[in-house]
Amino acid sequence: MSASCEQGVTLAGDLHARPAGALAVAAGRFASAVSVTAGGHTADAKSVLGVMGLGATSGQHVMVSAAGPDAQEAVAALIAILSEATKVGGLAFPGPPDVIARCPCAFSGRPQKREIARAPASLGKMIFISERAGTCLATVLRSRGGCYCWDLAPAAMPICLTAQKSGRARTVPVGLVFSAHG
Amino acid sequence: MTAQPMSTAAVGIVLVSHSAELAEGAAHLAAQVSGGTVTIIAAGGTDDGELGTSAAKVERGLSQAESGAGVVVLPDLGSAVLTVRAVLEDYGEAENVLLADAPFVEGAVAATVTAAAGGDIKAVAAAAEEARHVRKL
Repeated sequence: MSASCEQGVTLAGDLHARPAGALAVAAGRFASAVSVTAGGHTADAKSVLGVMGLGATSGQHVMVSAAGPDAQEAVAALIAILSEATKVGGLAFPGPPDVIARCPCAFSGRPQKREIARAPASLGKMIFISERAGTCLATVLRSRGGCYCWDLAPAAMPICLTAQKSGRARTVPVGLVFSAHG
Repeated sequence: MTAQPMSTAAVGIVLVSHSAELAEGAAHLAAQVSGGTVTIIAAGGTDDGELGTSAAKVERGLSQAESGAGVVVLPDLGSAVLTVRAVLEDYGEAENVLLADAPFVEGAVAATVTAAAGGDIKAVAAAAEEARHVRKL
């Protein structure tokens, strides 16, 4: 079923190269056409150079629009990235990530638990990012013996996973499972 | 529940520059912008560290960057193209390699981001080549 969807967000920081990259990587995993509009200019969200060319800065209102079979999911995912990745000290890509595991990505879209590979980091330092588009928001539940479990929410928020850090949920774009530095 | 197959490996990128520092710097930048999930090989300078290009470095780069999804090569200036073409004439799996006609830095960033998003070799090469048309001002 094809649909269109749009949502706006006020940037917490400038849309620099790394957040633009995070946005374009995430957008490229959706089948829908996705665009970002800021300051009267619109760019293809899948084009990192186009997104950077918007020159969007802190405090600016940015609109994300999508049209296609996964439009709603695409908009939700990109809004989450724009909200998080532009923050000062945000999670766009904290240096070259240490890839410690790849997510099996066999998600059905209903709540479930899944263990991933052994990961040498404490729960609070983990950021979970999955391999494939169309996956789900997840909350890290527990860590035991280096294995991590997460709870997948219904597919309302695809391609975002959440790690609990000091009791606060953080949402990050999908890619690989890596450990946050520090 | 039907298990989805794992997505295949990302397309690899080889950056061929007359300068080792330029190739390394572009590779570092592209890795940072794309999240560090794509193999990017810097093949810059001659075998003895001077300005120029090296067929041996390009050939090694092609092997190192290949992980099953193909490789997109970006040359910086004229004779880098000649070096890459000479290597590809001898390279066994040339159908898995595309030479992109693109601005070096912008093309490297655009190609790597598209590879990180799971684009196939043609999409990655196209992203690099489209970089020519994106204004930055």
